[in-house]
Amino acid sequence: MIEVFRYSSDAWGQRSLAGMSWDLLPYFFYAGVAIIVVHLVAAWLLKRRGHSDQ
Amino acid sequence: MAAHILRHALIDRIFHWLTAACVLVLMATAFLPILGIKFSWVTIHWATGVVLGIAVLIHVVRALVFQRATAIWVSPRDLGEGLSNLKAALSPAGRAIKPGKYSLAQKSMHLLVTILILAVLVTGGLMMVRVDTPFWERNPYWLTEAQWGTVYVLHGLAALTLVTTIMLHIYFALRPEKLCYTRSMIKGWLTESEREKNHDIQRW
Ligand code: HEM
Ligand code: HEM
Repeated sequence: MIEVFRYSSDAWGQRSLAGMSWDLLPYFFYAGVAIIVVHLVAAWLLKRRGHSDQ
Repeated sequence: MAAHILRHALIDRIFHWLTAACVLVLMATAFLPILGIKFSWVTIHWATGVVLGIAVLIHVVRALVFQRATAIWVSPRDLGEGLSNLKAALSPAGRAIKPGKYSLAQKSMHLLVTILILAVLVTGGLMMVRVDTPFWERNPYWLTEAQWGTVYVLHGLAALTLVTTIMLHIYFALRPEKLCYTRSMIKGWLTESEREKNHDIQRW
């Protein structure tokens, strides 16, 4: 399981929310890469079918 | 110059590139340390955040008072227009509808960035209470632990979403059919034929 949040523990050992987990950073980056690749492929396929301006 | 149509006034182009530079500095100062490149980033980060905040404030006033703010605001009509254009792209039977000054995609991009930037500005402003600045000493007890946690989660979530958003924004700005808009964000203008091809002049 990937962690979504970061937690910290105070002097009494109590866990509290500290922020987003930075393990997520690569997922947001690769989501960008994936959408770009899908768009490149779709635009190429449409162009081949003769819809010129996409 | 006869066939040149102004799309972005100089002041708006300066605003775009100033805010873009701020956002890139904010992302670099926040994420490079996370990626293992350590430096003392917090002061550069919030100071750039303050510059971004002032620029956004000026932009909002200008857009609401001196410009036609509805030109870039998503309306129900745009959704129908976007759907028709999607159909037209996928099947020869579909009918493409030219947008006014901004397409659904451009308006959606602006809306998403507006939401994300307002989110980082508000949460970042609150987070400044927790760091030492020339204006005040840090006060970590201003909110409860749980409330600070929520503020940091919202700042971090908006920051992560901006990574994907800005990647796509730059990709589209560099696509061959969109390069005329990139020129218009640098030099200000589109040619008459670029506007004619992509926009409904009546609604420009
Ligand atoms: C594109 C915009 C921005 C991005 C991508 C961004 C990103 C980040 C990230 C990832 C963190 C680390 C948060 C954590 O530890 O959970 C952070 C912290 C912080 N940011 Fe931002 N931020 C942006 C805008 C702003 C703005 C506009 C301000 C101020 C007005 C600001 C002020 C702060 C402060 C004060 C911290 C806390 C530093 C600390 O507690 O040590 N940020 N930012
Ligand atoms: C550094 C690379 C960047 C490039 C090449 C770029 C390019 C462009 C271009 C060409 C336009 C004008 C589109 C039009 O005429 O309709 C535009 C608009 C815009 N840009 Fe950027 N930009 C960049 C960075 C950024 C960043 C970092 C932000 C985030 C704050 C941003 C926010 C916007 C917004 C909100 C719009 C208006 C919506 C739109 O027309 O898509 N830009 N950008």
